[in-house]
Parts: sequence; structure tokens; C-alpha cells
Amino acid sequence: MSSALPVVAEHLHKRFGSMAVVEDLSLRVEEGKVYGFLGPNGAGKTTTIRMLLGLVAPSSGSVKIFGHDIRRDFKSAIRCVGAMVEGPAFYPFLTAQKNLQLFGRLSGGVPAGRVEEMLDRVGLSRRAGQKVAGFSQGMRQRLGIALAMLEKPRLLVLDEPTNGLDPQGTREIRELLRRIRDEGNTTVFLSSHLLGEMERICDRVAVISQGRMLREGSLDELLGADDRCFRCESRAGRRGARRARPSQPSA
Amino acid sequence: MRSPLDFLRTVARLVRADVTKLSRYWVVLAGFVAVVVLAVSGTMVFHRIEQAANVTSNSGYDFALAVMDRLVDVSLPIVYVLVCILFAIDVSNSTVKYILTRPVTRMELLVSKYVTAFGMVTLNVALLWTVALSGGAAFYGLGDLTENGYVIFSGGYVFGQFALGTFFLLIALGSVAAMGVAVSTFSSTMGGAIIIGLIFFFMLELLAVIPTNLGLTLSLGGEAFVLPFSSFSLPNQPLIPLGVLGDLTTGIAIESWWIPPIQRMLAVCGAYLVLFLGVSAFGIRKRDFTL
Repeated sequence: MSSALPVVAEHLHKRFGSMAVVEDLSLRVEEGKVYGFLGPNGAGKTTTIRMLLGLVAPSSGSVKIFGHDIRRDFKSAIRCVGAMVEGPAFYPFLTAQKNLQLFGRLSGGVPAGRVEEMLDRVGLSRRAGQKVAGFSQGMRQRLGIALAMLEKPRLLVLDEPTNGLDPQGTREIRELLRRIRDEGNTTVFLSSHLLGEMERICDRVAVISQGRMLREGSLDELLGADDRCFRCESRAGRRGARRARPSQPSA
Repeated sequence: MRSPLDFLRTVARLVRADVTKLSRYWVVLAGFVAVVVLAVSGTMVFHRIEQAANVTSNSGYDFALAVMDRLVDVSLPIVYVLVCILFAIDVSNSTVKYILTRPVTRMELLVSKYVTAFGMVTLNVALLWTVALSGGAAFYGLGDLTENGYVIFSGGYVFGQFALGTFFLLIALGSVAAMGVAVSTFSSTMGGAIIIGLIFFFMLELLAVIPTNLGLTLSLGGEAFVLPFSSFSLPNQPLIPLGVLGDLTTGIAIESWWIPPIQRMLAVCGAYLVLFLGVSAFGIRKRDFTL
């Protein structure tokens, strides 16, 4: 079972009432890679992540995490996963350290020193005894990643981890993700609506729009494709868009 | 296939996490401090009133029971409100998303909330009895129950009956707590959980004011009887076992606890418990906590 791929999603569909949010989406994420999930707001990224994590049931299709079906064998599947969905979530009246200890107990506890190690890794060891209520957005995001990585997951799922951060905070998170990637023990599934962010970190990228997978491949493959198609929104109108990509007059 | 032991282990871990969290949350701490302050001041005031009116309780047990009767009524809404936020605290802080991406099923999470709620109710009763019996011991003493120098009941017997009464009291309070958990399961904010919870609480309490001659006419074994609507008043059920204990402190032995008022209480509380369990199980399965 250990040779199974971290994520295999096949023909995922999700409907809320009559509205199709995700349509026929299939994914295969290879081990040890950083897999980017790129798409504009409302494209269906978070819904897909929710389905991958078993938070919502797909209308049809299947998800396997390291070979375990997320619906039928939820506990075995989710045991290998660390996740941060739609931003970090903590009890604001508890300290950063207490939050990590408390959540660590849900799966039976983490080894001694692991909480301190993770706080150190995300640069929050000096704030360990401070209540989360007083944390900035960037600190919360870093603590969220520390929490997601607390139990040494083989698959780390991060939903827009740089959302709402200033450039400095974004850079910190990016550096942290690079370090995780370079260690090579963890597969990272990262969603974002920022192409630049994906470009800097990801090995492979899937582009999703209106619930459908548009493209999937390495960034080189995607950017080098002959039939590439860009949607350029510019306040300067068409002329501005052409100026933005002068080598692509047809853009 | 998961084993029941695995289920219990996960529930125990969740309950432990709840206890850790709630024991550090000032709202919950303030709630229980309020219960203790109310219990102590209520006991003192009750004794003062007795002195002012020149009446005395028959015994320390009688005093403790009279105090307990009022304290249960007063403290119940406080503990109920604390139970109402049990689930909402996780939904409003979005921590439920993290919990549900751990090896925890929704049913395990729900059962853990019920266990925590019953734990809170038990703690409340333990605090109230401690204060009430301490007051009884301080003002009248708690030895054997005597009248004119004759021992009516030994202290051990009275305490045994009090323990049985507390068991039935906990069943009644537990079903009220179940209502709080059921409301909490559907709430996204703590304020919403408290408001909706209190609306249900007082609506069910209002049933008690319906005259007892109004009710459902039922037939059992060919014999027709009326089941008053007022007997469905959930928040008043805890007073029934305390009423039975009241007979004991006036010198009437409790031959059996299997008497019509207790049977009716068990039927009403059992029905409510099943209803709330079903409603909350439906809610937790269907709700998308990530929205």
C-alpha cells in the first residue's frame, strides 16, 4: 500500500442543488512533489480539497489517499494527511503551544518535543506561550502550517496558505514550503489563485476553472504549450494587455 | 471494520481535548464560578430566611434538599447555556474543520460532545450537593435522621436514597443537556446557539403552566387515563426525583423508586433523549461545517 500514489481522484463531480461546482475532475499526485492547484476564486479549488479530505461527499467519483478510499476507509486515509483548509483555525483563548498539544492529542498524541520543534520551525517558538487571539494573520498562517505538519504527514494539503498575507508574510510561507519540499519526505498539495506563487514552488500544476480541469503538467509544459491561451484582464484594455505580452500579439 | 474499542478510545481523546479546552475558556469557568457563588449565597440566604421566619428544617437533609430544589432550578439555565456552546465553539472558530480532517468520525465527535455535556451536568450536581449538604451539616448536622430522639432512618440509608435520587436527577438533567447539544449541532455561532437554545428551553418550560386536566387521553389495558401536556415540560423533570426525596426527609420511607411520577419522568426524558440524539445525529451527518 505504501507504493500507492498520495492522491488519486477520479471523475469527481460535486453539485450543490442544481449548481455544478466541480465537474469530471481527475487528479494524480506523485509522491515527494509539490502539486499546485491553480484557479481563480470560485473555480472549485476548495470544494475539491474538501472532497479530497472527506469533509464533503462528492456527488460522484472517488478519492484515494495512499490507496485508501476516503469514504470507505476514512481513518486509514486521513491518518497520512495534514491539512489546512480555508485558513488556519485555532482556539483564540489558548496559547499557540496549547493549541498544538490539544490537536496533537486527537490522533493519540505526538512525541515529546514535537510541538516545540514545529513552533521553532515556523519561527514561533518565542510566541509559544502567547494566546492565539493576539496573533497577526501571518503568524496564524504559520501556526496553521505547523499544525498541519505536526504529525509528520506524508501528504500536506494547504488551501491558499498565503491568502491575506502581506508580501513579507507571503515570502515567509513560501520559504517554509520550499524547505518542506527540499526535505522530500512530504508530498504537498497546494491551492492558490496566484500563478507567481505556483511558479516558485510547484513541480506540477493543475489549472481549474468553473469546476473543470483545464490543464495539468509541469509549469514548463504549461507555459511552453503552443496552443496556450491567456486571459488577461487589464484596466488599460486590449492595448494594455498586448503591451503586457508583446510577444503574443494574439493574446 | 472499526472496533468498538477504537470508537471509545477516540471518544475519550475528544472528551479529554474538550475538558482541556473548556477548563481554559473563561466563559465556561465564569459559568461554573457563578453556579458556586449562587449555591453558596443561596444556601446562606435560605438559612437567613428560615431564621427570620422562625422556622427550622427537620434536619440537615431536609435543609439540603430544600436548598437543592431551588438551586437546580436556578443553575440549570446556566449549565444549559454552557452546553449549548459545546459544538458552536468548534464551528465558530472553524476548528471543526481541523478535527474532521483527523482520524475522527462525525459520530465519534457527536458522542464525545454528549459525554462532555453529561460530565458538565454531573459536575454541576456535584457542586450543588456539596454546597447544599455542607449547609445542612453546618446548620443542622447530618447524622441519623431522628424525631424526638428516635432514629427514623440511619444516615447511611438516607445517603443511599439521596444517591438513587441523584441518579434519576442526572437522567433528567442529562436530557436537558441533550437538548443543548442538539441545538449546538445546528449552530454556527455561540450567540446563535445560546439564543436558540434558550428559546427552546423556555418554550418547553412553559408547558408546565398548562392545567393538568388538559392532555392526551390514552388507553392502557382497557383503562383510559390522561397524560397531561404539562408533564412534557422538560426543564421541570429534574424536580420530580427531588420531590420523591422530600418524602424521605419528612419521615416517609421510600419503598420503591419505580413509582408513576418517576416512570413518567423516565418516559418523557427518554423520549426527548431519543429525539435529540436523532436530530443531532442527522445534523452532524448532513451539515457542511466548512461553509
